[in-house]
Amino acid sequence: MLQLKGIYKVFHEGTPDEKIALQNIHLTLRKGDFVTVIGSNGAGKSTLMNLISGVLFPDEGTIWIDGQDVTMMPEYVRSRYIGRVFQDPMAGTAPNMTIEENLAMAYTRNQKRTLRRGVTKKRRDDFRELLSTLHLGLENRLQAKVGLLSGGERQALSLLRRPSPNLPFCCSMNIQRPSIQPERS
Amino acid sequence: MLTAMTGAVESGLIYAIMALGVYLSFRILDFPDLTVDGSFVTGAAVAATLIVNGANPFVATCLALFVGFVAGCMTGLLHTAGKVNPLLSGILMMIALYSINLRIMGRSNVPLLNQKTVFTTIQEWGTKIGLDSAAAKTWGILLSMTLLALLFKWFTDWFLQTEIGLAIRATGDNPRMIRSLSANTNLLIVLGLGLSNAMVAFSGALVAQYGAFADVGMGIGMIIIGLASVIIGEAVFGTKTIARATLAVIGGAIIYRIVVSLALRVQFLETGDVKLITACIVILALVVPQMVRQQKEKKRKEEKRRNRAQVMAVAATGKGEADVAVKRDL
Repeated sequence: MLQLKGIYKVFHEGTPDEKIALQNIHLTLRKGDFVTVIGSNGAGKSTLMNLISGVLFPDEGTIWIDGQDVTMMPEYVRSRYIGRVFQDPMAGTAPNMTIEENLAMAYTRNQKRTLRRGVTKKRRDDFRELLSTLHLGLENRLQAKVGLLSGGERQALSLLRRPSPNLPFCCSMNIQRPSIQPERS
Repeated sequence: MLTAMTGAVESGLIYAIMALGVYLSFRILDFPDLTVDGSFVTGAAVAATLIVNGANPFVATCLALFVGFVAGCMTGLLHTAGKVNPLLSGILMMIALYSINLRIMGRSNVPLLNQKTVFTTIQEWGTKIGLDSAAAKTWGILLSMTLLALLFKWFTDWFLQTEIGLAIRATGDNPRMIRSLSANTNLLIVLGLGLSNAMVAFSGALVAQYGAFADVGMGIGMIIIGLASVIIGEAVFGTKTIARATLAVIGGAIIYRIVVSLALRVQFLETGDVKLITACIVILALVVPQMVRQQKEKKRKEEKRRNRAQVMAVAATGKGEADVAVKRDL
């Protein structure tokens, strides 16, 4: 369960550019909830996502995940509980690393990273199977650098690295631009 | 001429370890780390001081590696915890290390003549198995340094394929993404810079023993020498995989030494011109490939345009569209 209690976020406080992005936001999401947040530019959608994921911290209020106060928890710790897809297709993958290396990094996201090999034979087989579900032919290009893929392929890859089922909460970065639109005529 | 060449290859192999360190910070972490100018001397100073005070040269060299690691970590902390700009944190650390190096050595120059160093020990081993003194020196150093450089290359290759290594590469490639995958990028940057400067200091310790002195000014421009090696290597050998890139760095370091020693044979140039030569090599290595690529691209486009014009001309003669398509495919 995700809870936001009395969240305030102000940018450039005390200057002529002061902008109250979020004012007294209360939000409770239960397991299985599916929510769409709609708003015009500058309404605070991205700020809300950034607060939940830990990129920004609220000026007031608290954030709870499954009864745990995560308000001040740094992004890299909190990301254990949160799956994220960035709106920019380039932001979700490392371009100079291969497809299998990118997948391997997501594979170890909930464990402590060690000095074991990142891409093992067993994992490679898993990746191949996982990639074949996309029907993009990426399963035959495991050693290709991700920077060589198209924006859509890269976004598909980052969607593939979805949080494992034991993650309590999953949020998707607001996709304003049509990053993936296969049926676009 | 031949001795000059083997000398160039020898020192190239020693400097290759430093270049691998620069590759780690500059290419993998995407962090232009100027600490190198200082930590190289720190390695030399630590090893030389210990050796003069009677320590085992191998132990002294390994300690230099450790001190370099600490120096690199300090730069990393300045950048991550102190939020100082990467270039500036490197420069700050370099300046701080200058004084620290003087303190370690106690004076600006520590000669190592007639001291037991790693290289004299290797030479001794060589004479024991029946080589004459000169051959033992040349072949002993050449062989052991080749093995050492390959050992560091192998370590780098292995490390960058581990889970932690992948996270470090991603930190240099796309920090936002790897943070969203539960990696502490700050810690990874500190670790990466530590390893990078450990290699640099190790190389510094060996260079001091190879040249039989440690000098407080021996690190000036070291980052550029490292960069030159990385860039030359990448241009000549390519960067398709990590293993290929690290091999390229070693090759680049050797090529760089050979080029410098050849350049210094020109009557007009003096020893003091080495830095200028280095700068010129780096500039050439940076600018020329770009210009060549542009020229090629231009030619390719012109070629295409000409072919197209030809096809159009054929079309005008009235052979029909099918014919045009076939010619275009050519």
